Amino acid sequence: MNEALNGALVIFTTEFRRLIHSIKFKILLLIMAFPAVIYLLNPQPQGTGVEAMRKAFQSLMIDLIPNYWAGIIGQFIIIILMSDLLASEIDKGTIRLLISKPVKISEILIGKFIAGISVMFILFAVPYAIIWLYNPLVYHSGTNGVIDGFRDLALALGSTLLVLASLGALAVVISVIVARPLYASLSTFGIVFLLQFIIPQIPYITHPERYTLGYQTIILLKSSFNLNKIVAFKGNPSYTVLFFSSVIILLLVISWVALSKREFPD
Amino acid sequence: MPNIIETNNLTKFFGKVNVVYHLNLQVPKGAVYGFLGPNGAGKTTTIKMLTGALKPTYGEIKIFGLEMPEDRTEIMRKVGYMPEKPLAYEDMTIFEFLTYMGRLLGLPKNKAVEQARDVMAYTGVGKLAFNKIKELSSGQKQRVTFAVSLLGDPELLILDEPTSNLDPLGRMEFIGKVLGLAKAGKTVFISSHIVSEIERMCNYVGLIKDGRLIEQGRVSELAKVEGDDYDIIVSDNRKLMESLMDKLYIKEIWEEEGILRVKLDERFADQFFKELPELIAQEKLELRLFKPHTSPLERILMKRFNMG
Repeated sequence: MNEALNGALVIFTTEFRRLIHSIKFKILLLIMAFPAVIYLLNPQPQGTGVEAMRKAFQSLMIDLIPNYWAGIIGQFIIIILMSDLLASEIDKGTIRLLISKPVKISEILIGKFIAGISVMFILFAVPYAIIWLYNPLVYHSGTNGVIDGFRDLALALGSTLLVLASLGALAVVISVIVARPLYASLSTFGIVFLLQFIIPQIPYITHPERYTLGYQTIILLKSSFNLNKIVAFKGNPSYTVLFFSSVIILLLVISWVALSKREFPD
Repeated sequence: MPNIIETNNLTKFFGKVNVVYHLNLQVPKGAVYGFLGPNGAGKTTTIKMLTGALKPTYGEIKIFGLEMPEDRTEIMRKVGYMPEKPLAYEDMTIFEFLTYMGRLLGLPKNKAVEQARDVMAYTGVGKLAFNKIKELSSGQKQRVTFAVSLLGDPELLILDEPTSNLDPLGRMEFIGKVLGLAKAGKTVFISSHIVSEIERMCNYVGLIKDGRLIEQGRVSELAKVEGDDYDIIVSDNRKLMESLMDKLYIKEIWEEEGILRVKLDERFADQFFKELPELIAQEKLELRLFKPHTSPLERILMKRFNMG
């Protein structure tokens, strides 16, 4: 194992295990799985076969992602999860334990961030996979339904993760600066709310709806979700990928600088 | 002997408050260095700068000849640190926590597990290995933090108020362990405000007050500072008291709980040391105790901190 990666890997595995064993994770998972459970109870199938099944899956995702999983509720959950990663270490002083070991600041940051993203992956993968696995039963599409539906599942999951990872990276920056989990969560939520819903309302900005994370997730889905006409969502998926990837990298660099410059008196 | 820790004009301000000022520490290799000072003197702030948690406002820190904080990761491979407050992940068991800390030192998993077992046994928390840290008493947590500092067999141990949560027996045990580590050739830097502990463990001492290093050096050298109060017990205290009463070198003499307490006039102290054995022999008394009223370090503290 490359020594430079050892610290990040050890922090990632430990943090990931701690997170998935926490009560907080179980509560967040329940909230995220809620729409999928409702769908299980009342699927309302429209036709049968692989095509009908995929159309229903895409339609459901286009509806639920902007309104729930990447909407206010999903965003709030991601902020709660990601704000806690470093803020609680700084707040409780345990970061001094990490600093007193031969571990670089970048390793701490990367280990924690990837652990958070991995937990985010589970939070979204579980409800999406429930729908993906249940649909072939409802639409009588069998194994083909499972296989053909996988591409849609992967795109939905990847798009949601990319967009919300940028929110997670913002939560990390703010948590390094604020260093109190609750205040960091509230500050991040305040900033995100301002950026998505308040600032776009000023008269000079046309199409304020385009500034929401949910909207941008649908732009990404447009590249392959072609069974429903997504005409209302304007944008180029490649630009969206480029934008959110850049934002994540930029925010992580800012977090690294802030954490490197920070002192840990208590 | 080369210095393991060396600071040069180390200074720390918190806003406008000066917490550590022009500190020039010199900790030789193999020393057990007691960093002694009252609460709020700047001991913990200094240690936090030594371990990279705080950055100096100005001044230099060299540990193993490397610069802190620039070479922090390189330095920390050879340093074990025990913070003043027991820091640990409360939701982990002791075993998980120690293994995690060992792996952060770069140890492979099997080696980290092995070392976790060793340090648990050494610090007396082996039976609690699978208890969660949140279930432990503060003394047990302190033992766990001590165990963390021993992982990786470090060359230098930096211990900040290591006995503050231990009971008297635990303190005695801890002192024994530090002496054992010193025998094994480790350099130990211990901060404390408990003089008797430092006296028992350390061969070097640094006195800090209001962020300034007042005195530093070998305990045996510094302890040459003369005291002027002595405790004496002889077979007949009253008789000796009557013989000493009118002597020029006696400032005060009184009996307290069976001990004869003598306060000397420093100018004539030599005469006292010459005459006392003669007086005891003359009066046919039996000497049972003769010692300075305060310990050497206490005497230094009283003189340098203008106490007493």
